[in-house]
Amino acid sequence: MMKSKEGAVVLEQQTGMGLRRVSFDQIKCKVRQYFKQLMPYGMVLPAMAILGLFVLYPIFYMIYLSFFKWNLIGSKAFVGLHNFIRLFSDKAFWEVLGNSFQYMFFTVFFAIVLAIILAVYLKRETKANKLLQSILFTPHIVSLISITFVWMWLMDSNYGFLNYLLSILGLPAMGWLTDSNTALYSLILISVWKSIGYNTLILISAMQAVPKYLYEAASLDNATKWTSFFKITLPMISPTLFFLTLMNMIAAFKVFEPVKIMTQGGPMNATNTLVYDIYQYGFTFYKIGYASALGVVLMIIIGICTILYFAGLSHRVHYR
Amino acid sequence: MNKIELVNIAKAYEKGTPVIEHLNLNIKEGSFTVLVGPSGCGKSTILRIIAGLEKETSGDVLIEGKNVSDIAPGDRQIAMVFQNYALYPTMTVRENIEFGLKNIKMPKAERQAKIAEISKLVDLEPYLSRKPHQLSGGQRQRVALARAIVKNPSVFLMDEPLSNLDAKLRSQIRTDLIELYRKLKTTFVYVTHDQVEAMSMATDIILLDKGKIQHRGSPADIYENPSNVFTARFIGSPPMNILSVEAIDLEDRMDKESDLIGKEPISISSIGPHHARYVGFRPEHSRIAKRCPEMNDLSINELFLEGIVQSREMLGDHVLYKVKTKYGEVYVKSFQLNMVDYGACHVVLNPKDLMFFDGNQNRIETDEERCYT
Repeated sequence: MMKSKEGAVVLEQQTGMGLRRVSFDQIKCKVRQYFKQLMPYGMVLPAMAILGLFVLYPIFYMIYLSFFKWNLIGSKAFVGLHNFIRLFSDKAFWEVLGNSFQYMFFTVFFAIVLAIILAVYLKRETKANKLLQSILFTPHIVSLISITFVWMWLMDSNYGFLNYLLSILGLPAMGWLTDSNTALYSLILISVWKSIGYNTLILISAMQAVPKYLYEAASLDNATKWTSFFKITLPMISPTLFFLTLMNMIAAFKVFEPVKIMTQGGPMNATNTLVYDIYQYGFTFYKIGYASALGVVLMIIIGICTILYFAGLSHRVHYR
Repeated sequence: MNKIELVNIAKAYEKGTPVIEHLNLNIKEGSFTVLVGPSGCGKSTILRIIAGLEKETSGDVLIEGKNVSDIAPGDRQIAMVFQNYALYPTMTVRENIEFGLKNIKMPKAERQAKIAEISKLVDLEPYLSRKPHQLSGGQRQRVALARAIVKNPSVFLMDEPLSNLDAKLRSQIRTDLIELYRKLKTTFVYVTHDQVEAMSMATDIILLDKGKIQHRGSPADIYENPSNVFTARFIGSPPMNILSVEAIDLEDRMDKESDLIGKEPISISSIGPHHARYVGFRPEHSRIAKRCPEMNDLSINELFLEGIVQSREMLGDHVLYKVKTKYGEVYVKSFQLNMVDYGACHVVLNPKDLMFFDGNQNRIETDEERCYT
């Protein structure tokens, strides 16, 4: 009896324990399920928080500010679309926009075309080429500010090195940064010089990734070097080219430091670009609302350009 | 007549030992010549030298008697099919086939007629506007072939064109290639490491090892009369069983009862030439028996080798046994489908199927009537 009674108790306890364990397991299971569902969100939360705080919030705040008149100190006055209306009816804005486009077009064109030519020349892996690559890449790692100061000295119209070279060649001196006809091109020159090393490096690696056997097949197909380049190399590096052009385009639209340091948008507004204009309105004239409206316009322009670029060219890009 | 001649060709890369030294080789007009050998034997290098993709270090390449050493690959009247097909990934199938024709400035109408004809020949008509990455392996292979055929070359060079295909497709394209060869009646030079491909398609096989020709001949010749141990072991699947004569004879001398005996105890050296060092026989030329065959069961001259069955593979039409003997492992391909059990067995051979090799592993040609009668 005792034994059986003891046995029964143990059994009961066991069943009791068992039951309890089952329900506890169920809870654990549920918690685990929720945890599993929430886990991915938890993982991306820090990144999303940073993105929201430092990217999305400023963008929306800028859009919000563009509808107000504000000088940073007083209270904001809602003016609706007034800032935009004033902006589009301002002749200076169109000039600035023209400068920006001109700057963007020439910078991107030369920075890419010259980089392609250099990459074709430097893609063969010799010691001399490696050295040249590193030299070419140096401008990219030096701070733009210090570069700008060096170029200012080089381009000085009285004591500059470039004018000294011109005088040796018997050519008249140029007002590199002081002539409203050449100032923008001088800035373009610096920008091309700075970005060409990086572009070349990226293009070299893209070209080196083109399989050798394609060129062998082409040589058996009687293709000239020229044909091989246009029919094989260019299509094969098109994704890289597409990416580089886009990045260069956006960077060119956002040019600021050289303008600020070298020309302050002058002479006669000739080098005033969108970002410098925004800076001036924001931090020189304290017209925050107007500057924000300019910022919105810049964002929209870059957005439209990117979309147009994708729509127009992406079907010609070959992704493997 | 010789279509292609390589005279005293040597090839060495910048660093390291030469791949090929003093190679002389000729390829007959209208032959299907297969260069076969293990990887690193220089077969692809030879093909690339013929194509002009690789510059020979010294020596001359002659195509139709003309030295082409200074002629560009495109002007050598050759077409090549690469191992990975080397299709231009950015071009459609049509553009891939057309590329070579455009480069020689063929008029458009002629080009289109040719493409239509070729795409019909290789069954590519529905795929002409697709890009290579939208095609299956077999289809890509056909594009590569079409690209070669369309140029109407006098020599086709093929660098392991089937190695990227699965086994089934491979055997199908093998027969397609034979048909194509018969249709085009031009010279084919084909590189492979697969002896089955070599045996099945070639009219002429050149077996290479370490940049040297080991054997050249027709598939039947290379199978029946391998000129050395390397050839004997390379051709045939599974490879020929090669045993050291010395080991057998040594054993022989130690105890009088030889394992390789006929009706009377005999030694290998009494069957083969006295300077034989290796003896070989093909797995398909041997039988397997469970017990020591009764003397009466043996046909008059048969020999047997004692061993233990290590593994057996039922392969449908035959059974493959791996047998461990005192002298090494041998393979036996038995067409008797009732399998012999694991354990002790006897490998039965006919002395006329034995091949003898000397100390340098070269074949010793013996008369049809061997010493043992």
